[in-house]
Amino acid sequence: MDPERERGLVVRARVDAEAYGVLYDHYLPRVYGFVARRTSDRAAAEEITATCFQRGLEAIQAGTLPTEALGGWLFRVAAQAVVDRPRRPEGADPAGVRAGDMAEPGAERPEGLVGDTVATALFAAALDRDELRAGLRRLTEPQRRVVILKYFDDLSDPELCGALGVSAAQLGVRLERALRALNAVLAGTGVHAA
Amino acid sequence: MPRNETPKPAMVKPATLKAADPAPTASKPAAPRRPAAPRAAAAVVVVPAEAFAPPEASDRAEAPVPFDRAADPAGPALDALASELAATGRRARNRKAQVTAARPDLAFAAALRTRLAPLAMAPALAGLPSDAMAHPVHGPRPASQAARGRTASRRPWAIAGLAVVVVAAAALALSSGVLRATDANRAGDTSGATLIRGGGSQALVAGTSLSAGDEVRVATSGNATLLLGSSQARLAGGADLRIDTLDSSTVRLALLAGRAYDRVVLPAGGSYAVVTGPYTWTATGTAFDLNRVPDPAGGEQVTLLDLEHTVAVAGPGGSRQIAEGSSVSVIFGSPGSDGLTVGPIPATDFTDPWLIANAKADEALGYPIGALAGVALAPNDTPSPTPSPTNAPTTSPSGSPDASATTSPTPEPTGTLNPTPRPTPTPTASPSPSPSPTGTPQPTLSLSPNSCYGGVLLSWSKYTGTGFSKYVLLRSLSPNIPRAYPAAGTTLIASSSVRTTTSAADATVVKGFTYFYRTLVLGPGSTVLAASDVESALGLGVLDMGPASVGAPYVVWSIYNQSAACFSEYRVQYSSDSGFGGQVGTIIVPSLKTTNVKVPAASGFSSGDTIYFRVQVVYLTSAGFFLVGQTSGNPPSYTYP
Repeated sequence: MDPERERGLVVRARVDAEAYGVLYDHYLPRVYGFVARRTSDRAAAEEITATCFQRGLEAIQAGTLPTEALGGWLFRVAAQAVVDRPRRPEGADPAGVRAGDMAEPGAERPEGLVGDTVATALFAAALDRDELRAGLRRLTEPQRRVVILKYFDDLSDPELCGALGVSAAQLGVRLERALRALNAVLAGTGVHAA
Repeated sequence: MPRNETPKPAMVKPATLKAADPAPTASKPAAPRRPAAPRAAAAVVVVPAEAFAPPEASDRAEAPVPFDRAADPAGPALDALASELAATGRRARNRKAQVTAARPDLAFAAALRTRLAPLAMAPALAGLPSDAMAHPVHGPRPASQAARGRTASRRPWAIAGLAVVVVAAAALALSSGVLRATDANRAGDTSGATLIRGGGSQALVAGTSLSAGDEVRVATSGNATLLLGSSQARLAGGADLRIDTLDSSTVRLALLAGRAYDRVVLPAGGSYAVVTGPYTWTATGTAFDLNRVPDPAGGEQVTLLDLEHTVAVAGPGGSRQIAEGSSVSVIFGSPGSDGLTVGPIPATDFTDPWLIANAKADEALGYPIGALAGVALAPNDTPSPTPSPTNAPTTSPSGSPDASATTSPTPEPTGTLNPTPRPTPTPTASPSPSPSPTGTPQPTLSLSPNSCYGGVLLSWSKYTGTGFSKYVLLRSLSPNIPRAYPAAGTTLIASSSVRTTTSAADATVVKGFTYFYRTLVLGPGSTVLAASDVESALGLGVLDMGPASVGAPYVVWSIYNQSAACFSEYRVQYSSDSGFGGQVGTIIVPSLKTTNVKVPAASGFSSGDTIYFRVQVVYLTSAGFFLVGQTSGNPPSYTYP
């Protein structure tokens, strides 16, 4: 979605249901797909998706959406919810609870991105070349994440910035590094030859 | 919809950012910055998972990227690798299992929409649970409060879950209209339309999936909206349209007869074309109206009204770009066939209810309306197309333009896929319907204009009576604005069907002019239920904020010291072009008191890159924003060391 248009819709959505409807229509299939690619449970995907959109609406109405760009924020919240889910017993968290509620403030997250691991496996399975598949797995976690989000999830650049919490410049750098690292694997010069 | 490409690191990369790290101000010292992570020294770096940590550390920790891709021998290989990854991603997403699993269930989508609708309709903050208001979504809540929230929220969510199945069917059927339906290739609002598919015909109802090969015929009293991806083709009464190509990026339609308004929204690289006989009209992101009718002298006549952006026409005699605001007429299929006749859109067309209804529909969807901007919109609430004029009165039952999905439009009997040209005369500009002004309501609304630099803010009291349909805010250069709608000699500035929306902005004022405003409350049928008195405001130009400066590494400007009500945010724009003619990046500064911001991070630039700055004050409106003030003089520059 055009960033300027999205910004206008977010502003309108504070008081205009139709504006949020436009945002909902645009992002629902994409956010749901994003979550579904990281879970194998349709009920869980629906629960997480519903949570994202309810929290998105609350954030808009409360004026706490950080950049008035909803897309990246939704993907970020969805990613957090997917990561949090396997650590909790089934049914322990109702849909209205935010992903970070279960963690102690300031606590380190003990494990990696479970959801992205699933997505990486799906993406890797579609790669034709074994070297590329191996290279993908040898990237650092941040590098692999940006590759998966961009090329598998097809996030736009503004969405990537929001999802990763980076600026456009930082996104460019991160993506460039990931590509160079992958290319280095293919050239047989190592993973991290940035 | 267009997607942005990742900027190449070698270029100046404009971005829209929140000013997260402003320089210290006199009143508020800056918080201490996080210490930067140590720069990696070895070629092999193990970077820990930084799942949700602030990004700066990891991005700055690694070795620098050689930015000059053009001079990099690995450049072509990287481009090829990126292409391979993109192709793999498409392939992975398009696998049958993925397509099925990653598509939300329609019942779920409808149920969630139904559940969100009451929240979305609530005025700001009023509809939120107190818990959510006290603890914004971004911060973790204390564990005890989180537990209370879970307990309190579990029951209603469980009830909602049980109700999903029941509600979903009803929601799909009723299609409340509060939240629009999900984009898809399917029919939207229809009335009196017939779908011809595979040699058979059936009534076209809202929600019917559409695919290539389908043909839609609309009764003279009907209408149909076809949702084609993010684009829409809205068919007027008497239209006959066939879908020749329909996939995620390409839409190709054949307008066989009648009138169709096309609102085109395409992904990057997509195309949208409408064929009328030997002529093909192609758009890449625009709105246009096509009308194909028999020509009195034989053959057929096609008229294009290009309402927004350009349309390319190709046909006998070559191709041509048609500019926004142009009208094109062409006759073909007879000895009298001629070439394209191009001119401005006739003034009479700007009062055409069909165009105005479509413009209003586009406005409601957030799209610019191009050549129709500034035209006083007629009272149609929904895009109810005006039937094409016919010689004989129609015997078809007339469906309501906003018929619900359960309405069964009466299909036109048809036994052939080849449409027979209808004896439709050349259309003439049809006068706007003029609802009789009703009554003389007492002024029950207060209206308060506030002149800002660059625009006028208007707020009025909430209407509390019954029968409310919408507010309309009218403007005139004369104080004589009647308490009636439509009101001659006025311009519609804003319209809202949300009762709690009691403010608007007029961003089209000219410095030195005095404008007069009146707010009306309309009920069903555009009857006037209440009106404000006429109030005036003076148009002011954009404020000169004086020069900005750059004291490395900060951009500094003078504080905006005018009415705070007119301030939404500062926008610090930067560009490698001192005239800001090329790519422009923007840093958003939402605090009025902040008058400096750091120059963009060096990671996006090369040594020796120079960028120029200017600062704007803008006021955000429901339709975008207007410019309140801007720095003047030569834009200051910063060169990266």
